[in-house]
This record gives sequence, structure tokens and C-alpha cells, in this order.
Amino acid sequence: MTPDMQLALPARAENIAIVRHAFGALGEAYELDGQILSDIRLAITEACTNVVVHAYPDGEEGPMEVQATLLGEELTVVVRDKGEGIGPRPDSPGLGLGLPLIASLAENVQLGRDEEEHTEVRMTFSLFDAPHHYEDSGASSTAADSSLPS
Amino acid sequence: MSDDRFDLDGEPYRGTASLRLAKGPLVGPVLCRVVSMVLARANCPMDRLDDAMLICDALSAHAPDHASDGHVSFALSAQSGGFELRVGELPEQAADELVRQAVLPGVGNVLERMTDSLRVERTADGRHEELVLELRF
Repeated sequence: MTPDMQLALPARAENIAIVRHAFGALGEAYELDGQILSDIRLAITEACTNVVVHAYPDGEEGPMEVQATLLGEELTVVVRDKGEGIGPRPDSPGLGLGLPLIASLAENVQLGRDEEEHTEVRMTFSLFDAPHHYEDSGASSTAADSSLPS
Repeated sequence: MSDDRFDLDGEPYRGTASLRLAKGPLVGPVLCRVVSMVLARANCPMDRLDDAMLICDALSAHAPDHASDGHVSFALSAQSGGFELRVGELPEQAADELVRQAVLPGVGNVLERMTDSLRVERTADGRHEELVLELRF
């Protein structure tokens, strides 16, 4: 199915804000609940940050692609790069909380590679359920794909 | 003070983005937001940002009428001093028709008045047209 929105940008930190704004506009257009939109934007920010920080070796620039597809009451968002893929990185500058955070915010998360062997994070959000609440994070995380690395 | 906007590493700013949107409610809001962000980072003055928003409004109102497969494509490129916006995947004659449609009562043709350059190009594969708009600031 062809996505409703496809956005491709250089994988640079400054462009994460553009992705966030694009999803703000998507939320307005689809009249999404504010809390749900906030969760979606946070999860996408984490996924895009992973691309900026991890996908390309130092000094090399590559693309960051974001797709959104609305199907019924579910929004599927795919964040994709053409870089090195997801793997252990002992020198990672982050705390390693990005993927668990995405898993707690999305109904479902899948990490993998597309048909062209590009790394992708595929997140599905339910648009009309009660929003996740941080004090009940245990309940929300059980809905996510249990195959995620910690 | 220089008018040029620089990244932290000292390189002149150059912003690019490509956008493909399904015909419908997303086109206007998403196009305007992305263009305004890219232009703001290129140090675009407010009056030209206003012009760009009028252009985006005109394009989002009429470009979906010419969507060849239910989607409209845009390619943005901004740097200090200028901005280029390409409306892609348009069928034959659609680019000229899109320009003709961009008339506001009392204002005239928004695309012709607000841009510094307006032209039609063919895509590399020759199957589609692209409307190329340039703003200088």
C-alpha cells in the first residue's frame, strides 16, 4: 500500500525537527488526540535519532526516510535508513533507552530490513484507544513486540 | 554581521527534503510546515516566508487535481539566498495548467507574482513534468 506521507531528508540532527513538524501537521489534518500525537512524535523522534547517531559512519551523510500510512484506526510509521543497520555498539553515546521507549509508546514495533536491505523501524499506533500513561508503563509495554533487543 | 546562515561545522547551510503526499487533507498542512522549517533554517526573511506560504497554499489547493496516481511529490532545496521547490510527477500539460489555476481575485497569479523564476521541466525518464519554482531572498 502506498503511504499517505513520505518524507526523505539528510540524516542530520536538525532535520529531526522537520520530521516532528510534519507529524504535527499530520496530526492536525487527521484531528488526532493531542496525547496520542505527542506519543507518536516522541517515538518517531527516538527512531530518527537512532538514524542520525548510528546509521552512518562519522563524516558520511545518508538519507533518513519516514513514511506514514493511515489504515482504519491505525497509523503505521516506518523510519528507514541506508546505513549500517542495527547492531551492538560499545561506543554508543546514548543510554540505550530509545528502542524500549518506542516499544512502550507504540502498539507494535518491528525492526528489520526492507526488500532493498535498508534498515527500518516499523511502528504501529492505535489512534483512538486511550493514550498510554507513563505511570502505567508496564501495561503498555506488553503490547509491543517482545523480540526487541533491550 | 554576515547574512549567511552557517552550520556549527562552519559550512553554509543547505537544506533539502523530498515529500510525497496522498491527495487529501495532508497536502496543505504538511507542505506548509516542511517548507517553513526548511526556509527558516536558511535564514529566509519573513516577507519571503509569507510569499512561500502563499505559494504552498496555491500548490496544495490545485496540485492534487493533477496527481497522476493519487499522490503529489515535492522536492525542496534551500540555501542562504534562495529556495527551489519542484512539484513533480505531473502528467503532460499539468504544470502549465497548475500555473493557470493559481489566480487569486485582486492579487493575480500567485505563482507568477511571488516567484523569481518559474519553469516546466521534464523528468529524466520523460514520463512526467515538473514545475520548478525559485525564490530568492
